[in-house]
Amino acid sequence: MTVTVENIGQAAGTFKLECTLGKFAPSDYAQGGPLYVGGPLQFYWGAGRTPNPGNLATYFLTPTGPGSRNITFELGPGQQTSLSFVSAPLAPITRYDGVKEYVLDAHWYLSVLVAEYELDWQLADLSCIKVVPAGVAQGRIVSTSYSVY
Amino acid sequence: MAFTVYAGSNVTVSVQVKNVGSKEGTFKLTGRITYYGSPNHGAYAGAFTKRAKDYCTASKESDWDYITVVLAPGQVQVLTMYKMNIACGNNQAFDDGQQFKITWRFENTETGQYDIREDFFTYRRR
Repeated sequence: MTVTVENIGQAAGTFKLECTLGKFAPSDYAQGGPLYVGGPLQFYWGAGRTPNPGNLATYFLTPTGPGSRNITFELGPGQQTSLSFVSAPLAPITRYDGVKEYVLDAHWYLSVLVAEYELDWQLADLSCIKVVPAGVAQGRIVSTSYSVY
Repeated sequence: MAFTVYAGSNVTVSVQVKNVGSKEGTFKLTGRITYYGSPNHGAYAGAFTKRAKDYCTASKESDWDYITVVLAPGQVQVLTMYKMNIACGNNQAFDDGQQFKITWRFENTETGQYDIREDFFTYRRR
């Protein structure tokens, strides 16, 4: 996925772009406990953490390989740059109630790495990715043979 | 396929199954027996079991009435299930000529896709 970012400010700055890819928890899932499990998109509401239905299940698109959660870059005023992100292998995620989620939420956010603005992140985009299996297993009964004795 | 059983009969069935998909998967095989024809048409009458144990006396494990198997794409496997001691050996348990239907269900446990096959048998009093 390619993301184009523009510095619309009046000074040069360092920016950080990051994405989480997973699933927004449904609003009625406020009681905590792990909601999703399985595949590379494992996410747990952390033990001891306050359940937050607005949080994301998370997996990171990796611009520079596994383990890299984000990319930082310099932009002058009015300058744009395009950044390519590659996801880890995708799979549907399974909720603990057994329901599979095939549509994942991609949540992009951009930070300005200037001390007084460091926490002032901006939700740049929220989009969806549908996970379609590359292949499926399909069972068939070929024959039955009985022996009575 | 249709066959005849008597009180106390044992039935062994070999079910040949295949993964006709393009990915490895886990499948579950069950064989449910129901009355076929009056007076209890459609009612549950038993199940084929994973092991050759007498339904009437054996303790029943949680996986008593199904088999799970992992199959690679294109892989064929023969699964064996049993129905031991029909009618618990009671000759009067069913009417002479009572028919039963076996519904074999082979289900992909991950996707829910399944294949169904129906066989029939007739109960005869001795």
